[in-house]
Amino acid sequence: MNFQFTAEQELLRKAVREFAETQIAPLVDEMERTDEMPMELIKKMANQGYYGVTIPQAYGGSNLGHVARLIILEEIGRISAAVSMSLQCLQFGGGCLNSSGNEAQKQKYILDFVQGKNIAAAAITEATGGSDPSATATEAIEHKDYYLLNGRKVFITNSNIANMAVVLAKTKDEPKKEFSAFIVDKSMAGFRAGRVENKIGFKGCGTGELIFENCKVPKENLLGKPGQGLAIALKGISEYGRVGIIGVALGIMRASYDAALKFSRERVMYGKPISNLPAVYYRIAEMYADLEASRLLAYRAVWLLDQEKNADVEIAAAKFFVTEAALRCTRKAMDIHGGYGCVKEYAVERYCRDAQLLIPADGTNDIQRMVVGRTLTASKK
Amino acid sequence: MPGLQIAVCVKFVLDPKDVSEESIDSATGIINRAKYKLVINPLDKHALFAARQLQKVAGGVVTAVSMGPPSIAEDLTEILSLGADHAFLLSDSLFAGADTLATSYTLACGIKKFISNFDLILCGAKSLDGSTAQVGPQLAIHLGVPCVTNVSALSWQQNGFFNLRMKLEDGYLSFTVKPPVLFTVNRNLNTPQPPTLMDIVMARSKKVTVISNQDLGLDLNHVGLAGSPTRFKDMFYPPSKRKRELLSGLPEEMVNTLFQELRTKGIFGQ
Repeated sequence: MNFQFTAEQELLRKAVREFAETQIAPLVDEMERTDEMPMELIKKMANQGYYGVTIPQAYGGSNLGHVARLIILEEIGRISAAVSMSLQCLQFGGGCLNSSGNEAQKQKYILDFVQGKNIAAAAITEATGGSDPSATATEAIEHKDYYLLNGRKVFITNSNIANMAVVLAKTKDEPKKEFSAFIVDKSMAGFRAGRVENKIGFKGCGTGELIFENCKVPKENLLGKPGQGLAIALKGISEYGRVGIIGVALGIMRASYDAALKFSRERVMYGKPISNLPAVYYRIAEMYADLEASRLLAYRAVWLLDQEKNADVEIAAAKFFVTEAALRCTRKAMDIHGGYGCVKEYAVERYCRDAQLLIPADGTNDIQRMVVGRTLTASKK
Repeated sequence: MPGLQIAVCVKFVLDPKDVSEESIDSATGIINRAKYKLVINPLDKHALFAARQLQKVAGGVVTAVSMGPPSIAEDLTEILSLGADHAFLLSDSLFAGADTLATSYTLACGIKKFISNFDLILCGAKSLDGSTAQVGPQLAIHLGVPCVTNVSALSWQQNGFFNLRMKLEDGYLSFTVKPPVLFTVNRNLNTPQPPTLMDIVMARSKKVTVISNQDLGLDLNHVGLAGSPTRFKDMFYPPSKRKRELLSGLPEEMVNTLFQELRTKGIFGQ
């Protein structure tokens, strides 16, 4: 066994850390105040190649893979969970295009996606609940050379800045429900963003509605074949969405741990730094164990993806473990900060608000337990 | 014109984030560098970034040259991702213990042998550790080329000359210089950017060449400790005179205490 990152991966981590500390950190306070994503940052991240990390070089990506993607999300999440969340969801949209798009679709959309010109949302969740994509009510009625799309997607990350989306819609009701995926862009009339939710965290990363009203989608924008929509969506949710959430969670955990450690060494009580108190260093130890266990689970799961192996169970297990560990860590970081943990001058309260949003995202953690539990108990081994 | 042949001298230094008072061995007074992660000297990143920008305008080749233990060969990949097309690492136990004179001599010999047709040598104005600012100018003397130090603005003209600005304590001097030439640069020159993912991918196909004294055949009296007239005397952490004091009480009371304290220290007069 070898638990070391490669020299190239270490270099990547260093480069992304530098980018996050110099280009993103100065924007965080403003994002918290305005709840808006600086569009200049989208362009900068595109220039760095972050959108194309899993996209082949033939389409303008670097094809560094899923481990590299997780490194990027962790390092950016360490500085801003909101930016990491926005990035991972855009990678999700681009990932679906890459894994299921035909050559013409890739030529038309992916090159601009990698350059940050196409901002691609993944539009799956509806009011019926994100955990049950088979309840999707958005309809795509087939016509001669187009599909007519009608419906409303909710809780769509980047809804306010997206100019295109990969959309899951029902294409058949009888004899059996059938779902297909479509590439919809803003040039198509009837596609618009709706209201943006006022969330407790991820400030700056918009989450809201995407609305399709008699939206004519040309047939060449069908992603994959008719009826493959659910498979495309579920693969995207697992390999991009859940992994993305795991990356954001690792970043939040790292930031919480670093903040707690620093504060405990600097804050003096009873004449000594509070890091000398068992109540404090027990918490630090628990945070460290959570962080290390999470990183091992997470990086092994994405390493499997890079080996082109199915990792749905490993990813689902990592998703619920890592996000709950992140929430635990942020609470402990707040506890260690005492009263200061509850004031906005210290970032730990932001980490805690952001961490809570990880739990329901990309399949609630109960859904993850279901994926893992059902698979394990169904196995004959 | 085939473009500019640019050599950038890069030093690896201790990461200041890792260094503290405890890093200095109290018995020997030195820091065991092997125990710590090394990073590119910050001003050398400005030099690398400048080389890359000049290459974009004028074309040519950027070659990085570094001197250090063989263990940093892997770290040189970072230099390749930051724009160098090729890197030379001058590494030999005979070079160990070199002061600025022996370092600049060794670097000059390496450059003469492997990058003989250079137009421009770029160095950071000084290193984070030694901070002597001597290696650049000494290197220029060894190479027999003019040198401008502390460069804060630099551009290349189609007629083959460099336009530049040298920062002085209370102003600037502007020059137009004909290559070959050596500049040492300061942090006002540019804002280095971290490598992009494609920079990292491209670095895979670039080469680091490790050069030993077998390749250079240098006079041992001029390299390493033997070639260094400077002797290390002592290293210590500067005593910190800063102290933090937390005031408590009502705002008026805290302000009064603060003013009293500042008056006592003579900052507001008595």
